[in-house]
Amino acid sequence: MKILVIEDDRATADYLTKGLKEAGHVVDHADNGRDGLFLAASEPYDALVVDRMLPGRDGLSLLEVLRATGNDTPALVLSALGSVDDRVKGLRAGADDYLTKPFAFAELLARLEVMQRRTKGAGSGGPVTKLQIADLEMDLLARTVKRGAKPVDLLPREFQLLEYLLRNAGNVVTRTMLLENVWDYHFDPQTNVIDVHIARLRQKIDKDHEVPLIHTVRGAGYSLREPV
Amino acid sequence: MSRFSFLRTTTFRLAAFHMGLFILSVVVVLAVVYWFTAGFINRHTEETVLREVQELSNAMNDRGRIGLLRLISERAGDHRTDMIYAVASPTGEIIAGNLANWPLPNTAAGWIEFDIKNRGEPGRKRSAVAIILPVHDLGWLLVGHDMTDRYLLRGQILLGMIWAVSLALVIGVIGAVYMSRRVAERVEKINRTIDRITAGSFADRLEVTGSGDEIDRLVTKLNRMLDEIARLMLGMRQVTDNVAHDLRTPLSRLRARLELAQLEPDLPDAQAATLEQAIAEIDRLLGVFNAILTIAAAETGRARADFEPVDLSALVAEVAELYEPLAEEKGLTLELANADPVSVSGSRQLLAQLASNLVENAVKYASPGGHVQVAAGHDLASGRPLLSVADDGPGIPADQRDKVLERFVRLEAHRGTPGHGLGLSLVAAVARLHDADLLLDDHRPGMEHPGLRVSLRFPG
Repeated sequence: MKILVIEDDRATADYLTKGLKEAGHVVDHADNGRDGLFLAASEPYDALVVDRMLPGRDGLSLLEVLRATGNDTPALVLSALGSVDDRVKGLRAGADDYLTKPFAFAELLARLEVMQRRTKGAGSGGPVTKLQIADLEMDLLARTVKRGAKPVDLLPREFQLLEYLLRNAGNVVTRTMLLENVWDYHFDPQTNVIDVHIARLRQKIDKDHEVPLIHTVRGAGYSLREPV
Repeated sequence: MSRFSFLRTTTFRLAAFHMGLFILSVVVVLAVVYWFTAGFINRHTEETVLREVQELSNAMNDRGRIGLLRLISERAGDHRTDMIYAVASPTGEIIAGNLANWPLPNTAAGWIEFDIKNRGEPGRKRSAVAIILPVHDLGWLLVGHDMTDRYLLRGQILLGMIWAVSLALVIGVIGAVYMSRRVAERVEKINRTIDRITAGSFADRLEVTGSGDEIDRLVTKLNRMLDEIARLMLGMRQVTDNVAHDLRTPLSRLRARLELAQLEPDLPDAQAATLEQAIAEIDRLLGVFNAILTIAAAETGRARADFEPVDLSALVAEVAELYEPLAEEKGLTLELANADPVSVSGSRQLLAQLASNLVENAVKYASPGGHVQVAAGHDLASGRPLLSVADDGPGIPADQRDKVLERFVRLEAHRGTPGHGLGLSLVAAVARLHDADLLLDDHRPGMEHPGLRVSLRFPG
């Protein structure tokens, strides 16, 4: 991916640049809103990482200008403001995702990759009715799941959880992403309730199968993927 | 405002009090006037009668009985006179005068009041005041005055006064009602605006009519106070936002550096573990920090502007479902009671965080193999929307319940368990934001493990 990081804080920018490069991406950096807007508008990027508070032009107005000109490069807004209405304002201004500082780098990377996948997938014809990975099959219309020939009985929430994992198969999804997208909760519970839900899902999907599909990614989250 | 509630207003009470005083003074003034006019009529009558008696006695002294009788006949013969004259024998037979019958069966000297029959127009009853005097050798002399017209006048004066007082009373009542209504309506308007402002529309201000009266002055001062509160709130918001930014940014960098250090190849295991622990510590610190910011944000009441209808039954069901696997893993039974659908106006995210904190606590403190009960519905006693979470753990002693709602307070007995002591303060702040009454009590009173029940009663 070719990613533009618009961030005025030097240390954060360095860390983002270094981390993203290490993950195999090409990174450009702008340290103020004006330069950022110029770069974002003049070069094709796969994703933007925009700090909300920027000198020159703040992150949200930058996005609004960009969206008004028809540029819909997926953008992730970084902010030290974490309350629900700040988040809503961010999404309304044209952000595709919103991440509160400080964040784990793994969280940012997972979100960028999922965001990228979502935009790419958006143009691929009609609505998806079946999701599949290896011998795991999900029928979205009949709301049924099969592993091999054997039907898997899932509770509604487990179905949603598996659907999200399937839609992002191959990518890492973090606990926060699951809580936000499956439960629509934008706060962190003190205990790791998500782990218990994943453990249950694992029981139903991977138990009695030689090849596990749900993998734990240390320090990041989970990933549903085919064995290499 | 209900139709008659103005009767309870201060203005109406004041107006009624002043009206009472006014009516009292009118009555006193009129009583004095009546006293003087009616008194004057009586005194005047007595003087006239006594003057007449004097003349008659002069005539008697000068010309004897004949002179007296002649003068009486002369005076009584005048049909226009209001004076009454009568001379009677000791047995009560009329000898002279313009009276047909002697008024009293038992005659004695002194003033009398009596009714005259058949004088002037027959059939009409007339009143009179007279003095009776003994006359030597003759019997009794009566000299009096026909009072009919004067009593009529006195009656008119009295009637007039009653009318005056009644009219004053009616005008006073109408005035009091009108005045208190007007003032009550203005006050009610102010109340409604204040309600709107406390409900979250902080930009609203109270209306100044421009009359410069005391209510206007009060409203101007209230507006100034609201401006000041708005300024402080903005300041508070800026401070929290700045703290959020200024403290979170360095923490962010610190976390980032540690994460980059983790990326180094060939890291010795001991150092890798240290780095991981350090990151975990930072995350814990950030958890505290986020909780403080959420509490601070809830306490400013800013979120009220974004309140929406929240299905409380669905919300507790979701939170219960989120924690159910965790409860099961700990061998607990999580019971959900939300058969009675209920919704409230609020912030879904904050209410979910509140419910999640309560269930998390309940799961943490419930006795091994015990129960956690999560319920939403209507309070039986008040009918208000109710959310409650109960466990069968050690509970909280009654004298420490207020304390646990304060920030960073953790009871001595629970020091060993994880948590930052902000969970219940956040619950308290979110409850306040929603105007809900928060109650902590024993779930199973009297048992060895009374358990804790936390209930929120929302405005109905």
